[in-house]
Amino acid sequence: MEDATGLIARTRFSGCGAKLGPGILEKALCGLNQPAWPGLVTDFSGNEDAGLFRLGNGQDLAQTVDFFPPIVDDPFLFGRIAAANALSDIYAMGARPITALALVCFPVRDLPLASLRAMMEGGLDALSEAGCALVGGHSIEDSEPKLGYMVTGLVESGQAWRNNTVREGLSLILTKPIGTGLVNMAMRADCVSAAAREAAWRSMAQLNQVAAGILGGFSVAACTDVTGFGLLGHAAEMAQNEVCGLTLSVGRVALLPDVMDYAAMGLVPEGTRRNREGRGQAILNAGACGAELFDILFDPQTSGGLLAAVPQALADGAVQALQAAGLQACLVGESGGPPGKVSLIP
Amino acid sequence: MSESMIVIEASGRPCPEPVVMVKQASGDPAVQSIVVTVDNQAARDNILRFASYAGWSVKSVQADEPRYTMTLARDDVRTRPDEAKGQKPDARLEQDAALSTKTPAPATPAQAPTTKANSGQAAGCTSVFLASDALGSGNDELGQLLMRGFLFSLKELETPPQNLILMNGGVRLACVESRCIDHLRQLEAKGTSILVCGTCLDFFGLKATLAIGSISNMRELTYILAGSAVLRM
Repeated sequence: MEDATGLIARTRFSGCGAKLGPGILEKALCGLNQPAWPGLVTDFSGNEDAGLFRLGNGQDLAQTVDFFPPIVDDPFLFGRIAAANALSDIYAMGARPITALALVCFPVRDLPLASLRAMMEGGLDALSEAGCALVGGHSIEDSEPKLGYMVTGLVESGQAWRNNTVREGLSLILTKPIGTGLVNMAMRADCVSAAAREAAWRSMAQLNQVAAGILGGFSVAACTDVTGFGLLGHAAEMAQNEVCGLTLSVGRVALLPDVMDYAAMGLVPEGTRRNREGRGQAILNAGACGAELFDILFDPQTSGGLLAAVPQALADGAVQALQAAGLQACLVGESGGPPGKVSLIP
Repeated sequence: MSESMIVIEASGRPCPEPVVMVKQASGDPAVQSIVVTVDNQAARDNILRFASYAGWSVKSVQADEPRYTMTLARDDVRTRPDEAKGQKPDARLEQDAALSTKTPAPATPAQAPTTKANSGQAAGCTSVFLASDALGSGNDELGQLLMRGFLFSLKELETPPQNLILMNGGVRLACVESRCIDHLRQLEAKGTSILVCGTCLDFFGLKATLAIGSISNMRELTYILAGSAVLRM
């Protein structure tokens, strides 16, 4: 690409689509153990969005790290999306972010320093909005640019939102439309519509701070954020418990503009296939939707929305409050069905 | 026009590059078949998707894991009636499309009129007539997906039809809620006149939401249809 700041053309994968597939990660981590540290509440052995460590003063430390190659060409926007995405894991735990460290890979010979500067400015913009202090970071020279953040948050002990604590009688709320992976592919194929591109940018750059703040008033029983494994991949992780599974109404899921077209045109990211292979066995009644929509439901999301389970009686109020705050939130399903499985209905 | 085949080696290319290479090759009207090789299943699936979306038929898929070689052939809506008789019948086109014989010489890339004629009296005038926002019957969701694919392919033609006539449920395609507006806009940019039945817009209460095309009436539309080679989907 001629444009010196064009970031996407320099990378094979984009955003959370660069994530290792869920199947591969499970194989690598299977049986890996560490001492049972006092204070350790969750570690890598579960599917939590952030690790939890009890401080003993009534608070738990929530820690996460996320970094990825560019999903947009504009370096400021990329920085903002990278920070919004990293912060999202903290919000998904019901915690509030306090500090962050930057992780940067940069092709210093190929890209102007102004790009790096703009990436960092974009990241700082999102961190400042979140009330989160950037306390340092680390940089490496690399052929592909990458950016992300390690974020630390705090949450009252025992109050963190876990992702596999689903029980009967809950409704599922999704706070952002899905399809960022497909829009990115359409962008790479140079056939994206302006409406799709702008909606995806807006959605990815938006913090999950407001969504988490509102959901906090509606007795969240379980929560995760929708990122690299796609909506169904993360829903499947949520359903991994002994009590009950989830039922997803596929027709209710809000989609970014034109993504059905992109799926039909064969602009499906490779990550979608990895997600389908890794988590497909947890999905029941896949025939409830066509092949295109099924791919969209497994589309790797970058800086996706929160997927939260709240008591059914409170769900409509929660969705209304989220929508009143300008979020494209929707009710996408409920708890129920075979444990460990996500059952699809039209 | 001599049939030409193009061979694409897309192994080692990350998605969406293989699909983009096929899409670019398919945009050349001289290309009648494409043989493409990829080295992963995601690229294979994407190319098969694209073929079905853009109206190309898949003649063969050869697997030599992890490599896949696919042979695609163009299903061209501009096939001349005299040529069509000698060709292997294409079920989709035969069922859904009927070429009117009122004007004996429908446009081909070689003989397309240079004037932007939406008058039925112009020689070689072609019109596409859509009376629904879905293509075929059976399943509406599928029909709408097929219609988007059809309009996508139509706008990819080097010489798209002179007229696109929308009647009954077909008028929805040109209204703000439609997901085909981008395709229609590109068709219009290539010279296609989009004519929308005013009575139908009134009936559905959609007149205020018309996003593209001009409102027409039965008299004008009849005049145009009577003087065109008509593709009715």
